[in-house]
Amino acid sequence: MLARIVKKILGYETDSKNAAKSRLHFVLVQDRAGLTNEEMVSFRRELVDVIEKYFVIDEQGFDIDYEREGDSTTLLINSPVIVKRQEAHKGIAGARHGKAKGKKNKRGRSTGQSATSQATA
Amino acid sequence: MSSNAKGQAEIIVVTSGKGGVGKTTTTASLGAALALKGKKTLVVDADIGLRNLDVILGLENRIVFNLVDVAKGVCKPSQAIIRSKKSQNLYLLPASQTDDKDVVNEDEVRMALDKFRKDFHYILVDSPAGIEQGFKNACAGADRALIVTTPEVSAIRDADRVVGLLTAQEIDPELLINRIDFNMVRRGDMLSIEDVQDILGIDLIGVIERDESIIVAANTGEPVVYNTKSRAGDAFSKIARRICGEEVPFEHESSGSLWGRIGRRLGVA
Repeated sequence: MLARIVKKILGYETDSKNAAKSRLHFVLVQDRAGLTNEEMVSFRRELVDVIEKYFVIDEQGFDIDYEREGDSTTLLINSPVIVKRQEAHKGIAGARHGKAKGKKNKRGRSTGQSATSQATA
Repeated sequence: MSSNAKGQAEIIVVTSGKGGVGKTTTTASLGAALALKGKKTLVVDADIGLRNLDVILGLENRIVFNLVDVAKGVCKPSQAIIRSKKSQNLYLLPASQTDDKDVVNEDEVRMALDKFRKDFHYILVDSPAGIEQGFKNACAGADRALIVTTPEVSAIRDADRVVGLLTAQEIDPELLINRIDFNMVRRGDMLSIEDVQDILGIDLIGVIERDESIIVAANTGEPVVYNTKSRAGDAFSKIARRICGEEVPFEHESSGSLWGRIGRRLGVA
């Protein structure tokens, strides 16, 4: 954090690397899944619909990812959940359950709790 | 499989998906580095129809027979390999320049390479770009794979495809990041070693900085590892040691600048 601030002040840090990262992220999810553009869109739509049946979610932060580790590939679905105060207890419990491994959860954290679901192939 | 006695060479394919990322330079440099370590090494150009390993090694005017000739039984295996002018331990099996890459199949290449196993410690196979027949041929007999990528979107995307294909063949590829520029990484204008590793999810075998001495080496046909002043040459030698199973720390390959050192001291970089 400090390093980043210093770099920003000194004009060292630009963001083209982050653009590269997010664009790669987008194409690799499709490449690894072997799904077409339309299939990806409907997969995402249907997932959002299912989660919205039970949670209020921030669709902006909704994210699908494929991560490879060794010879297994993990499907990571990261969905920021907006939790109402009186329901916080229930919501947080649900979110915590999903966070077993999620090192990538930081993406959704700013908008509230994050439910991460994983499927490993 | 680890570094082995002469008698059963380990076959390592050098591949990338995308063209122009440095496969041929890597094959030549690692071959020369392994030879310098006393390992008898054969480098094989599997890019049939577009051969280049011969010119990178400065052996272009000594070719008589080639990989296709060995595969088709036109010549004896020993007749097709050319010894490097610089090393007793380094040999080249060139590609055919006149054939089409579909002229041989995977079984033929595998059997051709097997004929050399008993005479070498290492056989490095320079794969053509792409994921078609030429790539499949190059991977056919491989025990191990190195994936070369640059820290760029297109190269990483293609490398990712190749990781998937090799993993399906039960080969765990190792990652070689080529042409990284640590100044650009520090500025935030280039993906870092960690970024590339994170994205591809495979083990790192080494990092080569962008270095003019590689172009000079290609001009003269003398592998960069013979240039003792070259950082890239030094990095290739380290990778060769890792290939042989030595533990060689990666520390030099992170930011060696004043800023990087200050950052590490403060615990922020």
